[in-house]
Amino acid sequence: MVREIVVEHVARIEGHGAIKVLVDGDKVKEVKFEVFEGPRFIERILVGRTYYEVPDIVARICSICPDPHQVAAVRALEKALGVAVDWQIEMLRELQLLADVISSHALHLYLLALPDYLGYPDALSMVDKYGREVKLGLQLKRAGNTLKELLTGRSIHGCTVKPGGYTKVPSPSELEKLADMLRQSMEGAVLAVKLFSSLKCPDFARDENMFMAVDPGSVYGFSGNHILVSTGERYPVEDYKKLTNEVTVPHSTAKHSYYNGKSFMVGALARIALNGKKLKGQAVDMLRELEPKLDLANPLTNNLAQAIEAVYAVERAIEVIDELLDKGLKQEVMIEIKPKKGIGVSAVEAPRGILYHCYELDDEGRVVKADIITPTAQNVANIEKYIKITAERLLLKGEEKLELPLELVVRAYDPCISCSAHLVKVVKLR
Amino acid sequence: MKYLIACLGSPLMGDDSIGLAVAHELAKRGYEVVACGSDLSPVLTRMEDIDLLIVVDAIDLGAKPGSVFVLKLEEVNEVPARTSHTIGVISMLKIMMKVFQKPMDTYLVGVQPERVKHSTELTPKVRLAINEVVVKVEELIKEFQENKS
Repeated sequence: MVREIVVEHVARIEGHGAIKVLVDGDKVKEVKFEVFEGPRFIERILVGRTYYEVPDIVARICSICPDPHQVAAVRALEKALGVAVDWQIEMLRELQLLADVISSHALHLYLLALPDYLGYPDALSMVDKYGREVKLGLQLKRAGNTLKELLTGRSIHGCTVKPGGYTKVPSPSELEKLADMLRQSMEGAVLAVKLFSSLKCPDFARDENMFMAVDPGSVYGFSGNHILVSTGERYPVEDYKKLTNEVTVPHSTAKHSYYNGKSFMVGALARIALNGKKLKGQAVDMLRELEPKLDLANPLTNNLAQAIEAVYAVERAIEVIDELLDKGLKQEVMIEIKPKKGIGVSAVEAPRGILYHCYELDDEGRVVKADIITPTAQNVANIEKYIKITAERLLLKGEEKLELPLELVVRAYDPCISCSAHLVKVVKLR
Repeated sequence: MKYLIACLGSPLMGDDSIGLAVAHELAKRGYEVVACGSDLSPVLTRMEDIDLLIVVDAIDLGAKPGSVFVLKLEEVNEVPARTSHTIGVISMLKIMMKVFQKPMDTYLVGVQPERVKHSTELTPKVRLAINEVVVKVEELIKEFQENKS
């Protein structure tokens, strides 16, 4: 008998997505992870705008990860404009990416993923019993958001990030205060590792996977000029189309990506798989200790990978602040730009994986063409692969209720089906 | 005693940007207001300093477009399937209040949208509601200040 298993709305992910699995007996005939967020044509909106306006516009793609969009944009635009930035700007950008990782991972781990593992329908329901955990998670998120606010003027959709630098640089005392806040937030990051390494991680989604991540160089990080593939290959970011091979599918407004005909995973687990040896501090000790639990064939371990990364991000952010303070902060650091024709590609690691931005500019520095490929778009085909594996395994075991396990698979990727609108529908309780 | 007005909205999604239009109007009148975009993080970073929180947003109550509502946080609950946030605005507010145990009067001042689609313009009926929202917010602040003094 043919039947359809449907999760109409996958809760606790960014945006609107649904799962549809067509089953015949214990065989899975078809899997669809449907993304029905309306396309917002940001790339088209950018055409005709000047290079200076781009970071403010792309920040609106997402409220969770506006910072990687901004950093990716300015890096690509600077390549197109032939501009090189100095050490301080690079460090501030690293700090901005770290701040976003801290904020985003804290949100996902404590408020979106943890309820599944503790048996609650949502974060609000678990607050009474797990108030301390949620509070530490929110304190961690707050540290990330406060750092974003300090660097970009706003905790989301910042407005100081421009090609050639930042229009405002924080003062040493502001950065010192932030370092203190980060030190205090570390408890939340460490607790996340303890929680996600001790709570049972289901293994119904195991299968060999392919990973991609930005090659950050010698230190674990979130930007670089090359992409690493778990096949052992390494490509310059300019080859991003060879790596993503985007195709449209009828059931989704998100394109699907394949490399050599296979889906692949980007995100924290991919970064740890490919760059984990470059971690340092407490994070590397944790990774060594927890390596047996960090099963690379199981995408659900992405949660644990995020927790380890959160520890690294807090430690590294404090280290970056210390280095900036040691060298002395220059307050006026914007680099002068002369508009010119050119093409630039960049890749940064957003919390959910590799984010590509590519811009073609005309003689006046106006955008002729823009191409943005988000991590979730790269992950969608891989999500469908693991939904299928999970459904097949559980059906063979005679499981009838597949909805929650399938949602767990989707949520493990922390998908960001970017939402520009945030309409709230309410019902009155009385 | 401090208040904070948090205005939510995306400038790219038509009537969803009503909160941002209200933020501009309130800022012109000298009120302390944050334009939050699509996320409550700016409230999270400030909440220990505030005693009154007013959240301005597009709220779908199935009413006539441009209708203005003033709701106390404890009076409302979210329909999860209709919020496109990772975690709904109302749920997030309730979680923050509980874990930080910060007593705070919290109001939602909402406007019924007509069209939440890709656009940088408000529909005329929703645009007309800006002044009414501003008046409601001013009343809440005045009442709060009088009660506390």
